[in-house]
Amino acid sequence: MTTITYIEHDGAEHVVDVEDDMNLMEGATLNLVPGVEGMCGGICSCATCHCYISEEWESRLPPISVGEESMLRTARHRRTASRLGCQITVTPELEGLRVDLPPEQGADDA
Amino acid sequence: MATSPETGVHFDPYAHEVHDDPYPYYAKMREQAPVYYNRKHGYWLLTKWDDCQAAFRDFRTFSSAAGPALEANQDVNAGYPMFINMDPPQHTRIRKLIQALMLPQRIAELEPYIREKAVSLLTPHLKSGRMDLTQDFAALLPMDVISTMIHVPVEDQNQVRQWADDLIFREDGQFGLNERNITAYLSMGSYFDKLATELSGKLAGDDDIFSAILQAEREGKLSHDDVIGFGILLAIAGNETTTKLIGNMCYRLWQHKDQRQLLIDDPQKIANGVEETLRFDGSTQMIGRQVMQDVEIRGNTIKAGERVGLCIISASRDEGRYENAESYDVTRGARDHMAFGSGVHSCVGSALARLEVRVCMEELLRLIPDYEIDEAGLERTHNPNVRGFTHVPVTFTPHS
Repeated sequence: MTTITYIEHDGAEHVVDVEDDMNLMEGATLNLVPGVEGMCGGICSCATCHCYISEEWESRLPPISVGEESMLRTARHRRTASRLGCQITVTPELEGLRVDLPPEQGADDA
Repeated sequence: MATSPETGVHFDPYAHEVHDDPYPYYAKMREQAPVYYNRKHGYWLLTKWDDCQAAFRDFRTFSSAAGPALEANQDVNAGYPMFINMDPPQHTRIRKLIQALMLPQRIAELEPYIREKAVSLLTPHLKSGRMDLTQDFAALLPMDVISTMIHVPVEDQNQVRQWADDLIFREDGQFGLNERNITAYLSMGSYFDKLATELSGKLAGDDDIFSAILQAEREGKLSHDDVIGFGILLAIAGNETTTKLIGNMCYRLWQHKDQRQLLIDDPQKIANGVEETLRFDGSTQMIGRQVMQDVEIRGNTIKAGERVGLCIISASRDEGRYENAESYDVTRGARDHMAFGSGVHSCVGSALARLEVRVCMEELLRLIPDYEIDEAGLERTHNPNVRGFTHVPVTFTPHS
């Protein structure tokens, strides 16, 4: 188990233990953390597990793949720190990670 | 307190007469009984977008452990284990075995194969100017494609498809399973038992679905019965709803010829047309859950142990969510419909389904843009959940 803190846009914090090999989207949705939807179930198709990861943690994460980038392009409120939670597997190295959430989830319609 | 309000609305998803056009029933329920209770069979239906979405999200209250069908009292545990009938975290661990294979970027590798297959199915009919878009095309392609992932040989594909059709077909008013459904299920079980045993010594690595699940069996993560369950589930899931979605899209584009012309003129829009068909006339109508603790929705108390159908296709027509929800607009492109479900159980094959339907429609509209449906020859499957045609006879201008 790895402890992850999810921070809603209004500042509300949710500290949860996430089973190893789950991803950041599952860590939130399986613990019913508000602000993460994960509508597509984790196949990088909906941009509703959009989150922000600070620079200090970036080097410990897998790089953004082509598929993740193409979904992030559609995400509302994109920033340079944007990632999709479903594409980041939780490992013990992420103990203490803080994950900021956007004001709303989802992609702009085509 | 009373948990079964009398509303004056009556809806029987097991009646064949409902299947031609269930949408007026859904509209009436959304307006008069958005949390609908069917007294005869004892189940609830959620018909509003917000309620369905909230129920999908709260998987602890709305459990999948008794399966995704609407009926109560089914004993899914008597059959082969399937992850569709499980709750997290067990469900999530099993889903993970194949999830990486189903990402859109990975699935995209199949596009040339799917396109070639679509063209090869359409071409033999071009000279005659007539074909059946389901029997000759939409029913064959998804089975062929899923077979490349679960290793069903070409000579067995029609049989497996027939079992899948038999498994879901419900006679008029039939509630629960009949002998035809059960026989098909058992036949598929024997088939995948044999296939898994044959393949277990031959397949290595985890590059396709069956290889990945056989690998998991070798590692002790899955039992042999789990592998059989996977085979049955994928053969059904990879077939029925994609086939029916292609048919529904062919029908809606024929009905709305201005919309068809938009896609013929600009094939880039076909992907949005697929999304709109998923929203407007998706092939999955509702997904069942079992309530694990009393829950109140819009003033109705649903008791622990009761069955609830999340009526996703009604949610897709919810005016509270979509402007002009009852109009078919291929340029809309909304992707927040729940045609593939939502959340932890969301269809793991959705990227494959989207790709197959898009490519099929691109090739169909390129090769046969002027098809006319013989409405008298249309035939449907009958199931409270799966919506679509078994026969879509068409004529068109012959060419070579």
